[in-house]
This record gives sequence, structure tokens and C-alpha cells, in this order.
Amino acid sequence: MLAEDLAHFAVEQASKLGFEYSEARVQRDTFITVSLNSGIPDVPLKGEFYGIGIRAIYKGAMGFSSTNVLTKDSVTNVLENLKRTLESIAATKINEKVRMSEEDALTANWSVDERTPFEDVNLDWFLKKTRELDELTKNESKIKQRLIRLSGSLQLKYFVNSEGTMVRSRVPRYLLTAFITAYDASDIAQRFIEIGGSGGPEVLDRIKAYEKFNEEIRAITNIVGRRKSVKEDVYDVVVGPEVAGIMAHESIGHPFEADRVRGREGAQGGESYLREIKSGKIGSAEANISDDPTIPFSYGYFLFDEEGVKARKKELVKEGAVNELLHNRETAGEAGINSNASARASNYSVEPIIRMSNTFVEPGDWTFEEIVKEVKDGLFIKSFMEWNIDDRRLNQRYVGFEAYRISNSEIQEPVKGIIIETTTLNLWSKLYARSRELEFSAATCGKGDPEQGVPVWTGGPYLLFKGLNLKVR
Amino acid sequence: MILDRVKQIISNAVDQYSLIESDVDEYIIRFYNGKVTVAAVNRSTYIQMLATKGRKKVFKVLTDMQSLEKGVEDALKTLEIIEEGEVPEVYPKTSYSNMEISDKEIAFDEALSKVINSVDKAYSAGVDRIAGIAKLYKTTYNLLTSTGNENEEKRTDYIYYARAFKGNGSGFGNSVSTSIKRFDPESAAAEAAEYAKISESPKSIPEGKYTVILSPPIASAIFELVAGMCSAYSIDVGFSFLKDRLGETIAPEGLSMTDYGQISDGVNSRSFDDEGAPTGSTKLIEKGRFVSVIHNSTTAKKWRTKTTGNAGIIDPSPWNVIIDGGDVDNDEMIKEIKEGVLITNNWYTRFNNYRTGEFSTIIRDAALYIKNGEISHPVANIRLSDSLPRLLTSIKMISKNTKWVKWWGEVVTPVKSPYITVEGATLTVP
Repeated sequence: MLAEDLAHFAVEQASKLGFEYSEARVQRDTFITVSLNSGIPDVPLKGEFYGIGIRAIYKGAMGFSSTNVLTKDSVTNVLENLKRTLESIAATKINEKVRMSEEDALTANWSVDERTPFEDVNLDWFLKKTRELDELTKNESKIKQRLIRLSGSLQLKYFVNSEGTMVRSRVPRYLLTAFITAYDASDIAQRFIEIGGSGGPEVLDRIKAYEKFNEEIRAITNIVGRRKSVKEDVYDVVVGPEVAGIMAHESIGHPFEADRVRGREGAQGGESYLREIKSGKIGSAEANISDDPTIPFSYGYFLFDEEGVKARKKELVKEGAVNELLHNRETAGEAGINSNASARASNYSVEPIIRMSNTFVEPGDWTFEEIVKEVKDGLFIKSFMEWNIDDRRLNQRYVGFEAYRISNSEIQEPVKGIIIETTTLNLWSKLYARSRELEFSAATCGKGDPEQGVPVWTGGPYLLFKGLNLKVR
Repeated sequence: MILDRVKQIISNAVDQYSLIESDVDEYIIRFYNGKVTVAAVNRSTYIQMLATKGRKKVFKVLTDMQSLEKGVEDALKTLEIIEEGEVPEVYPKTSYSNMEISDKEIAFDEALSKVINSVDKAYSAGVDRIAGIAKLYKTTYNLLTSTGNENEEKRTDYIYYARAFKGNGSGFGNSVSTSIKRFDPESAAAEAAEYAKISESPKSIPEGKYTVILSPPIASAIFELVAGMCSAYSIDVGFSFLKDRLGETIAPEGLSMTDYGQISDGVNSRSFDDEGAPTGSTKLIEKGRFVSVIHNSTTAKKWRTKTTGNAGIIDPSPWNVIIDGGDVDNDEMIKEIKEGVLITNNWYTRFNNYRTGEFSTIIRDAALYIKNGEISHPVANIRLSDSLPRLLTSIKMISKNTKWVKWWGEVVTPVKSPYITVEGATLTVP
């Protein structure tokens, strides 16, 4: 049970204190993490973040306040403190008046289906599953170090605002992560594995987490010591859904966050190339990238955002052109449009900011086999380890982990250290074909200060890029 | 006393416990385009609870003060069903030496005034825009352990960083202090503005190996990674290139790095760690030799040594890292370089392999080409692609002056670093 009354009290109190707008979010995040470090259990981590976050506007200035002392006195105290702070700022020349978009007031209750409720999943289950996963790795002679982690969390939220909106939600999530080190006399490889979704513990079966984990372990042991070098050159490159997903997330999703375009993240994650690219052309007609929080059982699932706006799919890039940005009520208000419900907050103590949910390249109509057949001499990069991108989201790098040579339209031996290092416009302009598959990977996306890690999926089909310049480590 | 409520429930149910209560007041002033986008006031109280019974252990973060007893009892139930394994040891009865606190309260009005002046400073220097943040903290820690340790510690911390933009260039500046007196956003903004203006029209350079000067922000980012990799847990799990290298020379003789649990203006200082052990200082690199691994009691037991007071219940971690200054001025470092690049900041470091130390990082904000000992022109779109062991052994010069760095994303542990000259660094371009 959440202290729902306190959310209503906060909004009423804010109104009494003269705030023009207010919203209150009572949120409880409960989590369990069990880890095995090369078979030895670490201390299991259990905990909760439970409190109230209040966002409110005073004399046009936006303020945020939070506390985990859930009493009326405490809420009144932080609101009075916030008012004093905003009064100080409103009196200065660096004050800015915010304009939030007009949105309809609504009432909603939503939750994720779970066969076994989070409250009924005990620590034994986490221990047993983690042991089972460890069993799959411990007899592999090339695997020398292994950290296997299973986490479960339950997010309960109750949101109200001064315009009459009320949203209650419940989202359980499960995440399997592993960090594997494998080596022989000639080669050493390391790999992060991250598989997760929202739902009861059965969601891990639904998204084939255990099979995927097993496939990863087999792939690691298969490629270590067998990886050949290739020369730096221009290649046709096939990438797997994991690589397609990180490309979509980093080079399209982040720069399409409207707060970044306005410069709000300038000192942190940076701004966006969309400040400069006026043509709106990002890539070839094959470049179709979307963000959709409503995918059932996805890791980035939500039906209403942290400002009480109904969530929907956003088609960010359509046929190579900019179609829609990710907005919250503040950036939508500035743009004179409605919010598309992209506001998220990682816990009660932080402000909602514009975030991705499940960002992916839309599938096409090729089969994977047809894509490989299209490549006479090229490379297949199935997964990656090292990656980064500059703060305008133009200059990016993806270093292949599981990668293979393609010769005469057939997948051949594994290759080592191949690097896609290119610009966003060059990358997406080289996109030639998309397969029918659509697969996702789990990730925790970071943004904002205070840093907010939120669960997301990244994904896509198999992609064929023609004529990419590849480097080698 | 909240901790006494927890103690009453667990003292007869467990063998050992360590309880830490943190009461945190936080003020945030966040701005962009020279205007405040949000001001935040946050107040939190939470308890970190470590308990062991026999060879079982549990660690829980408690934030629900209204249902504290329920949360503690849930942790005790966990103790019953958890697997046996290595258990941490709560530190025996000891005394702590708290650092003298600088400010009794957060000086909000003075800090706000300094932030406004910093924005003015940047615009009067001619930048297009400035974005940044000031974060002000007042924290009270209370420790209570089953071994009879008790301590209360109070502190204030002030953190500011900003980026100024001009044309296609940008610059970074930061100020980190435990006292409002030494909190200096104006100088940080002035530095950011100066670098933004210098880097206004950057040019491309060819990919290749360069001699580079790494300024304190990027040098701190590198040294933070190295300090983290001195953790026994990091080494055991595979997150470190320092496995089996204790006692070896990993850097030139001029390089010494020390972790301090408590130090003036170290904004991550505390007199005790998460197991109640007193914090101290640990020399990590001494005259180029890797001399110490940092430990909590669990890793120490495995390595047959003593804790260094760096718990982290699972992963021991550094508190405040200081790299000793060298013997040259910054200007001399530039004069010594025939062709190279002065790098002022970085972001988004990712490893291809932690065991080999291969990584790349985006060079962000001003990067300045050096020709014949002088700054020639700003450069754009470069990435440092290297390995930590190679980079450390290729340090050629270390500046006299050092600076504290801590900022979002890249330098989380406070690091006080000099400028360093590194030969043969690979810079790539897309």
C-alpha cells in the first residue's frame, strides 16, 4: 500500500502555498539482487526506495522536492522550503518561466500482468535460478571468471496533479545480467549479458532469457582463441538486433529527446545534432526508427508517463526523415503541441525528464538468409562490447564482440576487434535492407543529474549496411 | 534514535551488525541557456543494514521509516534462508577521528549568488550559452555496530560544473569544495568560457598516434578507473588489468596515487566505511609501483590480509583519490611538445576488455593542437582509443599543479589530478 492520501495532501498544500501548478508522485521501488561470483554468493542486496516527489511551479519557476519521511509535517516542510528557494530564484535574472502543454485530466489504473506476484517470489527462487545459470558456465574450461546476477524489482506509483489527473500503476521487472571472462593461451574475451522484461518471474521464460543466456555462453566459448584478424577496409556489413538496437538508441533516440535539442542536458549528456540538421534527412529510406513504451512485457513498458499523459508509439524517423521528437509537457508547451508522454523518473527522489522506452529499428521484409546472400564479401557483427558516441550524437563507435567473416554469401570464421566508427548520417545513409525479425535487448539508460537509470529495451531486425568503412583494434 | 529501534530488533537475532543512518539535505540549482530550468530541495533519511549470523549475511537499504520494523524483520527472514558463504566482519571496537567540518549549514543564498555570478561571467566573456549545475549537501552520518562502535559525523559539500558553448566549440569548468568559502563557480565558468572561445572553430586532424597533454578532468577520469581497478573485488571479477600485478611497476617513477578516506576538500570523505572500519589513507601507486589493493573484510579474508577501510559491502571502492603533482609547469609541458594535442575533457569511456585495459573515450570540449611548443588550433571529432597499461607506462611529464575534479557521468569519485603528458596515444576520427 502506498501513502496515496499524502499525494493529495501535497497537491492541496502546494495550492494553499500559492504554487500555480503541482503534481505529487508517491513511489515505492522494492528490489532484490542475488549474485554468484565464480560460484560464490555475494551478499544478497535487498532494499527499497519509498517516498514522495513533488514538482511544482511558483511564479513561473519550476521546482522539485522530495522526501522519504511520509508525514504531513514533512511534506509541508519540504514544500515551504521549495517555495522559499523558488522565491529566491524568481527574484533573479536567471529565472525562467516554464510553459507546460495543455493535457486532458484523466484517471487510470494500470499494471503489468504477472502470474506470480512479486510479493510471492522469495529469495530461494533467486538463489535457485542463479545456481542453475552458474551450472551452465562452470564446466566450460575457457570460462575463467564469471559474475552472474539475477534481480527482481517492483515499482508502485500513485500520481496526482493539480489539474485533476490521477494514475495508479504497478510494474514488476526481472533482469538477468552476467559478466563473463573467457580465455586460452592466445586470446581473452569479455562479455556483458543483459536480458530482462516486465512481468512476473515467468517473463524470463517468455522472453527466452535462459535460452539466450545459454546461447551467449556457447558463443563465447566458441569464438575465444578462434577469432581471426581482418584488414581495415570498406565492407558490406550485416549487424544483429543487439547492434541495431544500440545504434537506434544512441544515434536516434537520445538526439530526438526534445530537452536535449533545446540544450537542457548541455552540461551532462550534451545537446543534439538536430540543432544543426535543418533538412530533416537522417538516412536512406530504409531508416525507420521508433520508440514504443506499450510493447507488452518489455523492459521499458509503461502506459502513462510520469506527467499523467497516456503513452503511445512514437515514429521518430520515417523513411530516413525526422518525423517526431520525444516530448514531455514542458518541451511540448514550448513547441505548442501536445506531449507524447516521454516523461520518466527512476525513483521518487528525482524529477521526471524526457526518456526513451523501447527504441528500435522497424523490421523490413527480407529474411536473414536473403540478407546474408546479398553479401559477397563482408562481415556479420552479431553483438558488441565497447561502444560510445559524442555528445551531439554524431561520432559513434561499436566494436564487435561476436562477429564473423562473410565470404561468397556464407558465414565463415569468427573475427576479432572490428570497429564501426562513423557518423550518424553516414551510418543511416548506408542502410540497405532490414530483415523481418524483431528482437530486443535489455539495458539501463542513463541521463540527467542526479543520474537516472531507467529500464529500456533496444532492438531491431538484422540490418545490412552497404559500403561501411571498418577499422580494426 | 532511529538506529536504536533497529538495534532492539536485531541485537538478539544476529551475531554481528553494522548500521549506518544517513540524513541528507540536498539543494540543486540546474541551469541552461543561462536560465534556471529547475531548482530542487530534497530531504532523505535512510539506513544501510548489514547483519550476519553464522556463515550467513544480508545487506538491506531501509528507506521506509514508517514501517522500519517490518523492513528489518524481512531482512532477518532473509538471513534464515540465504546460502552460507564468506561473511564480512564488523570492525572491532575502535575510535574515529572525524574531520573538522567547515560549514554548519548549507549556505544556499551565497551559493545562489555565486552561481548567478558564474553565468554572468561566462556571458560577459562572450559565449553563446552556458549550462551547468550546482549541488549543495548537508549530511549527517550515524554509525552503530554490534562491536560497540558509535560515531556521528556531519559535513557539507558543494559541487558545481558548467559547460560554455561558442560556435562549434565548448569548454568545461568545475569547482568542488567542502566549504562555501572555497566554492568557486565563477572561476569554473570563466575557465569553461575561455576554452569555449578558443575552440570555436575546430578543424579535423588525421587519425594516428600523438603526444597528448591530459588536463585534470580527463586525467582524473583515467585515474579514477585505475583506482577502481585496485579493488580486490574488481580484480577477482575480471574488471581490472591489475590481476597478478601487485608489486610490479606499472607507471613511471614520477607517478604516485593515494586514496584518502578523509581529506580537506575531499567531498567523499567519511571517518568509517560500511563495515564500521575506520578509513585512512592507502597508497595505491608509489613511484610507479602498484603497491596496494583496496579491501573490505570479505575480500581481505580471501586475500589473507586486512581491510583497508574501503567497504563497500560487496565491492570495496576508493574514497578520494589524489595523484601527486610533478615538477613542471603547464606551460613547460606545452613547450616540450613538437606536435601533439592538449585535451581538456572526455566523456563516455567504455572498455573492449577490462583485463587487457583496452578502452576508448570521446574527447569532448576544447582539444587544442600543439605545434612547435605552442597552441596552434582547436581540433574536432576525436576519440582516444588506447589501453590503460600502455597509457600509464607512457606518461612522460606530470605538472606541479593539481585540481579536484568530480562531475556527472565521468568522474564520480573525487580525484585530484595534475596535467599529464602521454606519448603515443591513439586518436581516431570517424
